[in-house]
Amino acid sequence: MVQLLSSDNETFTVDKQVAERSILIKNMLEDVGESDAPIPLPNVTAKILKKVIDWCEHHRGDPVSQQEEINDRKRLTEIDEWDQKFMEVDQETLFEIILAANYLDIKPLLDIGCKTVANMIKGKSPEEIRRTFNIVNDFTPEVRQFGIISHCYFLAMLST
Amino acid sequence: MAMSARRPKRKIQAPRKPPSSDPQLDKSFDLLAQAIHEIHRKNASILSFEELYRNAYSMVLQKRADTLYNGVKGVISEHLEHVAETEVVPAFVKTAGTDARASADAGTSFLMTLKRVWNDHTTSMLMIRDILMYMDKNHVKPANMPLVYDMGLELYRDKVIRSPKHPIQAQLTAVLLDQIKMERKGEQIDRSAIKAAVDMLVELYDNEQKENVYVVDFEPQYLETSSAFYLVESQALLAECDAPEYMRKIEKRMNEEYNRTRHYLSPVTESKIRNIVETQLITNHAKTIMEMENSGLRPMLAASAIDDLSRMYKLFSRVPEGLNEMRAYIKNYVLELGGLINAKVDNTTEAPKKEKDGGENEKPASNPSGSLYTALRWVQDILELQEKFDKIIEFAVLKDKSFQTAINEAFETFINENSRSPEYISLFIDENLKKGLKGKTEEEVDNILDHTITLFRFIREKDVFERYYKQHLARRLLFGRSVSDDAERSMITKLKVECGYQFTTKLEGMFNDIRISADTVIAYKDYLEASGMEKPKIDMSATILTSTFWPMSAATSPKWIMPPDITAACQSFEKFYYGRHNGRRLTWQPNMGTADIKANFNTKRHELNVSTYGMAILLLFNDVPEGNFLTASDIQSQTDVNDVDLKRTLQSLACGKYKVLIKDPKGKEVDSQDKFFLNVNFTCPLARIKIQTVATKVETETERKSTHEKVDKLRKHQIEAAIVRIMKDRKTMDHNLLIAEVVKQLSNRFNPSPQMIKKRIEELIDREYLERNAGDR
Repeated sequence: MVQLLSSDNETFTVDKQVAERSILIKNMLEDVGESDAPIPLPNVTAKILKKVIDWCEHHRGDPVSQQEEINDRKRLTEIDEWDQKFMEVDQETLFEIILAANYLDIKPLLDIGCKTVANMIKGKSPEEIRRTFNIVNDFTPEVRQFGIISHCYFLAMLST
Repeated sequence: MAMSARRPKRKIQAPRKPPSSDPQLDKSFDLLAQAIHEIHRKNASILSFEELYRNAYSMVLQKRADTLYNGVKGVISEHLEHVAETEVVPAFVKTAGTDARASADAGTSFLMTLKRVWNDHTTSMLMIRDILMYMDKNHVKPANMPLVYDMGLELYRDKVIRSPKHPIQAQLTAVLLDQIKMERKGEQIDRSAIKAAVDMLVELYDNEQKENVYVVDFEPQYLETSSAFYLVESQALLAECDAPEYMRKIEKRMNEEYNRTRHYLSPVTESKIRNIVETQLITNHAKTIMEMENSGLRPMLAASAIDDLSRMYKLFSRVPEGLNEMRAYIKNYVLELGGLINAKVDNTTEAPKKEKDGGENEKPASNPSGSLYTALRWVQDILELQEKFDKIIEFAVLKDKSFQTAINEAFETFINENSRSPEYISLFIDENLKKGLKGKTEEEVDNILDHTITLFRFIREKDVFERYYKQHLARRLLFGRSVSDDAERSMITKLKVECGYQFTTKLEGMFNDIRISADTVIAYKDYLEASGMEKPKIDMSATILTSTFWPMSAATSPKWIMPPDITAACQSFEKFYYGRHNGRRLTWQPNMGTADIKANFNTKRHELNVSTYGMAILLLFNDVPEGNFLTASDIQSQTDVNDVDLKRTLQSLACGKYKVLIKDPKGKEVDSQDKFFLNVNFTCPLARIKIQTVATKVETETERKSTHEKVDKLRKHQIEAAIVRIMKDRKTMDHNLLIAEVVKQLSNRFNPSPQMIKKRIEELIDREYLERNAGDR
């Protein structure tokens, strides 16, 4: 078992196998060695960490090395049912999840997040997109969010 | 909405870069640089992995990955330069050239230092890589730059191994080569140290050469020094060792090199170093080794040194031309030995020696044919030679087919160089099929004959052999000298296997004649009983031979004056035989018969078994008063036996082991004026004596000529038959193709020359069997 400590000091105890869905944690465990001390994750809040752990629990059995580079266009935007439900959250949470997945290096979760966003963009005009994501016309310095949105947009372009 | 639709589309732009001098971010990098220092100091345990990762993560997110990457690169190169200067350089071998042992130890410790530095570096790099994993994934990889770990290796390559400041590379290569040299000289070295260094070099990659540093920097030098070493080594070995010793040593060397490469060098070197060693030790000296006096290939073959030969075979098989040369050498050697055996025949022909079978006299000196002994010796020698090389083939060269072929070719060549080989081989078989010879068991004889058959295979003129074999067989059958029917038949079966049914039909026919004759004689006896005719004074049995099967010319009976009693017996038999068979004609062959006669000498009465001619001569002496003589010409005129046979018979009676006649003057030669007396005082412990005709077992020159004429005549028929057979099938055919086909069809009997065939074709055209195609000129 591994203990994870969120930025707001909440401790989660999870299976090692579940925790190791995160490549960050996996590498850390390999390099530092296992210890009883909780692993601090100052970039993730308890609320989001809980979501991420839920996802990891559900996907614990997935084959680990789902090779990147999925050329199949269909698969770019298709999300299985459970994940769709999982992603039915408010926009802010969605972005937090994506950020956490990126930070923790959980590629499949990151992909699902981006696909979800991409599906939100699909078929919309720039104006609508801006409205959807609360983007002010002359780009605000909300750089982190924008970076992700542009990635999602790119995905959306690919799939339409 | 219409307004907004008309608005030009906005491009999505990359966000502006944040100001580069963000104190928070500089702090991040300082933290990381500090951490890397700690890692290098092996204090990694005090660091927080997550914190470092998060810092690197943030830097990448802030688009500061380049700064991070280059910064890390700088920190690492600084560290490596420091290490090179403070750890690697001080470990340099300083005692070089003074004391071999000491410098070797210093070399080992240098390698160990390098190994430690390398291990530390790779361990550190693994940790650094993990901290910077996010950068690797999201920045370095998409930008196609070397990943952090690979960057670390490149830095190590450029700052340590190929350091422009310190001659580390030269030192490393020198130490490695020195260590290997020590080991080649038989010293113990620390293989693990070398292995570590080699592994390190293999792991480093030279981007320009697209090869690892081991291959680029070290291997060429290694191969060069190895080549030089073995050049010297081979000279030294050749100077002090004989061939078997040399081969043992280089075999050992090759094993050493193989093990060296396997244990501590890269596998890619294996084929290259093997090539060098093989070139230096084998290819360059193959000839020298084979031709070494007293110990080269020739003495090995002479002594049948299987171990050495097999070693040579294995060694030579490693290099491209090795086996070819060895094979050619062996072939020549066989040819030479064969030549010697042939030369022996020529020598003994010129200076005839006593024949092996004791009392029998040598033929007249004017008769240049080799003796029976020579013939047997010749075959025996070849069989021994063959047995020797069979062994060599089987045990020394792993039954290599190409060697077998080469040796067979050599045998074929020299056997056919001796024009008498068909006769000799047939004689040899004759000797072994004769009754009760030298106490050999049946299996032994069978074994010998099996070997002889292999010699027979080499003969090109199989038809000549057939001719001789028939003659010898005829003699065995008619004089009842065969060991056994079974042995004869098994020999014929062997020939049949070799040459096919056609080759042996006549031989089998000869056997049939003998069997039928036995029945006929019984029938004749019954006929005499039944008819109540007056019985001839002598007890006669006749062997009826089918003229085409047997070798003697059957057309005419040799002329001689038959003693009256014999004439009567013959007539009686003829009457019987013509009564049974219509249209057959009997021709008597006195030169093939024998007679038992009872002779009264002064002391004792003996039963003599002599040839038919011998009987005729002895009967003459019945009418000669005691003390009187007959000259050879008297005998000639009274018997009318031809000269050669007469002389031969007289020799057997007067000069052989049992001297029934006394010749005056004494001596072997028979002159027409020589006087012959009956030896009335003849004594012998045996009651029954067999007086063998002095048989010219080996043909005289004239006989040989006539044999060859006969063979030639037969060949003409065979060629014509072949031509007609082929033309019947093909109707029209190109001249050259026809010749080729004829040669092919006849090749298992003899090799017809194209001229011969051309002549036959002309003949057949003349006789209107064939005609030229009208369209042709």
